[in-house]
Amino acid sequence: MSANAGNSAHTNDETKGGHVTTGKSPDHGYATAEEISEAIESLTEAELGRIHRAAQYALFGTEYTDPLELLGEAVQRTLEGVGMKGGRHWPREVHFVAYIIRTMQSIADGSSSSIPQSRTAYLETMAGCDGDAELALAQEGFSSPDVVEQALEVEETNERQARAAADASLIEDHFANDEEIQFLIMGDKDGMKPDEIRAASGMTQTAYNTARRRFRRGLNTLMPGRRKA
Amino acid sequence: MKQSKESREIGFIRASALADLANTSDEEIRNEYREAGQDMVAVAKQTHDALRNVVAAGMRTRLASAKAATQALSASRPTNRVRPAIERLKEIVAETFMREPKIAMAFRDGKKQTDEDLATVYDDLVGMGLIKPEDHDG
Repeated sequence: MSANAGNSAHTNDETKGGHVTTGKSPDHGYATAEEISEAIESLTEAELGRIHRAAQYALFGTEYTDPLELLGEAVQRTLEGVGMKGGRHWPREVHFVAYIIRTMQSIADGSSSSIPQSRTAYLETMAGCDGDAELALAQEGFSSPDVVEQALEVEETNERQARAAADASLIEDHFANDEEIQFLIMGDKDGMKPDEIRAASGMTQTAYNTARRRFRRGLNTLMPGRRKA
Repeated sequence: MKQSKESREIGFIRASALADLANTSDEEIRNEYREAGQDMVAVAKQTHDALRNVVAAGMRTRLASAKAATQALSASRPTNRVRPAIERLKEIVAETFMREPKIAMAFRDGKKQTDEDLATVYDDLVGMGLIKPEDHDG
């Protein structure tokens, strides 16, 4: 399988990436270790740049200190899941870039209770694309955490909460002078839907999208040097 | 488990940033690296190298598991296998690695292998069914 198969490198493919199974038996729909290796070998420079950027975003609030550490964890769990009933599996029909980004996000979320929440927001944000993200994720079996996460979710440690609080504070401070992004952060914090944020802030769809883009790009400059071990 | 408010907030921030990234073109991402003063070519290479290392380590783990399973099988079915001469053994291992580059990558650990190492590799490859001694008789 090529990493380029079916890749638009953005838009809808990303919505189909997340995938975890606990109860499904491995079957012919999942990639082998060799196919995973081949997909990684086939990654282009642009795809690698995208994956690294995604790892940076996923890193916030986690115990990982480096984007490559989180990325490595995602790949390792995928390799460990090959031929196993539980764990991470890469469905062949899902683009590898989309799969690995979604897997990093899921690992970062770190607990089953967080997944439905983030998934809801994610899908709502993506609803403008083609509206079939929920169906795609359901078809891919994205429903529950893997074994490692089940162990991790027993308790959200004080340390993890402290990291999340520190990173949330860092982000809020960084955007303190940007009123539109403040609305986004407050909306995110309160679990508001995109249209609710737009209504509360008076932003048009275009202004909302622009603010989202500005927010993400602002995170780019926050990442380097973050919590270097 | 109930998450803290901050953890939920961070989860939403992650989701929104990744969603926006999904709607960003490769060219825009390249420009963002440039504007941030970051060398995307170097980042891409570093990322690729890290991924290859994870895969190689994963492959080694899988081979170790396969080896353990093979040894357990061999213990229950003792054989009287004779290895070929060392030069011929090297040729067979090299041919196998040419045929199975992913396996070769898994065995690669950056150090020169001794004849004894190669003999062990040969045994492992026989055990995994990638070398059939009967094909190389004579």
